[in-house]
Amino acid sequence: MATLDLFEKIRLSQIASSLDLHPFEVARLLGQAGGLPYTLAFDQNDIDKVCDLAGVETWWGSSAPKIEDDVSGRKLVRIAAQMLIDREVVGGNTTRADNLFRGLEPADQFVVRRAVNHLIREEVLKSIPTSQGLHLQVDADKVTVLQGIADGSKIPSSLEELWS
Amino acid sequence: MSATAGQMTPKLVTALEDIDRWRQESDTSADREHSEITEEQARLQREIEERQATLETLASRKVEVEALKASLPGEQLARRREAALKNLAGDRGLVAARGSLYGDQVKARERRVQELIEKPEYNKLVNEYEEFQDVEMGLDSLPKTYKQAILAHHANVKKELGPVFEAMAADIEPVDAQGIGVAIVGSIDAPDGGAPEALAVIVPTPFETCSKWSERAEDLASLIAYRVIACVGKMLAEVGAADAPLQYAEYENALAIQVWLGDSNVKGNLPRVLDDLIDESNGKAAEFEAGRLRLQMVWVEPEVVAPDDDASDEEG
Repeated sequence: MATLDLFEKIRLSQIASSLDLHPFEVARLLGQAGGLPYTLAFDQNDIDKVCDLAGVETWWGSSAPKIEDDVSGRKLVRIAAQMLIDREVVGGNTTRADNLFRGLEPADQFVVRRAVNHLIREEVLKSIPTSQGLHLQVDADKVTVLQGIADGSKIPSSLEELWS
Repeated sequence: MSATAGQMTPKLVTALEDIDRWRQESDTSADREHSEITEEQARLQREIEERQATLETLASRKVEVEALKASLPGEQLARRREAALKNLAGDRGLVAARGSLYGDQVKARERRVQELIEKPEYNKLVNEYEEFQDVEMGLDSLPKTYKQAILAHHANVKKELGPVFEAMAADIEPVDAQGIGVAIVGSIDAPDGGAPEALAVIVPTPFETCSKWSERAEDLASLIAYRVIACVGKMLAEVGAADAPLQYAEYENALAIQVWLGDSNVKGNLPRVLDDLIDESNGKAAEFEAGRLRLQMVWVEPEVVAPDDDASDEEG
């Protein structure tokens, strides 16, 4: 970091970087929340505000459910399924799709993304466009399918193909 | 009256002579009038032929004019498209050139800050402030009193560096150039004049402000893109389409914001709301004032901006 950067306020693109968002998404959200300020210079409070507006959450980390599985791809997808259940992304509740990937290594993100796309095609998950970008939702009658994936008791063979 | 001096020619002779004279005169008169009528007929015939030729010429021209008139909408569209593309390229150039001048002003502000921090009264404080960034992460490992003392000292250093922070946050000086206006091209697709189904907003900034944002500096073009997107976001909220999906695409080397409105129930006058918001942003953006530029929405038919071929899209 250059010395001068230490004295500069936070730029919009830096808000985006810090939250793993695209700057255009930040601009849209701030626009909808009243508009951009006269000078595009921000502070930590603005990052927190955008984080809240965007519905950005970090699910992976120490608070992620502990699931043991010999196959790493399957383990990731089972944990992701369990997180959707634990966080009650059911019925009217939705979550940003990228909350399921944020914090994962790129290779692991790839696995979870493919699984999510597969589950959307299989209509286990529903994708909903919002001002925050793509959101996910689980219909109440699909929770048992998701639970079967999470506890490993009933993983659809089509899903198994993603990591076999 | 004597017999010799009396009427020697019989009256009949005179009468017949009179009749002959009458006949001769009548013939002459009839011949003259006949000739005149013939001439008039010929003249009229010539005139009719000339008029007929004129009618045929006019009929032919009328067909040409009708064909020309029928081609005007297409020609107008072609001209509007040509003008839109030409001006989009021109405005992109203007934004790039103005961005360069604006960048110079940003650098000038940085030079002023650099000169400030090189002053002896700030130099030591800057070094301390810089070093704190390295030790901050490890503060939790220190005893509480040590941590508090370091944080208190840091707060003090930061306070003393107030003028440096202020100089860095100072408004960018306006560029030394005339004001410019650039067009933001908008187009609404509303089939059969019904509800709007799609909105395209073309911003005369490089598409790389979207696709390569993390690799390039946050320049004037980026800031313009942010302002327009913020206006689009606000407009969507105001017309009841807050969740309408947005996509960003490259259009003629510029940035296209594409909004799908087909699943939204748009209420209100979308173009007017966006016009007002863009206009309002002109007076509420520091970089527009410093760059001496104004944005203005210009609306065109969807056909004017319809791409010739499939453009590559990128989800935002």
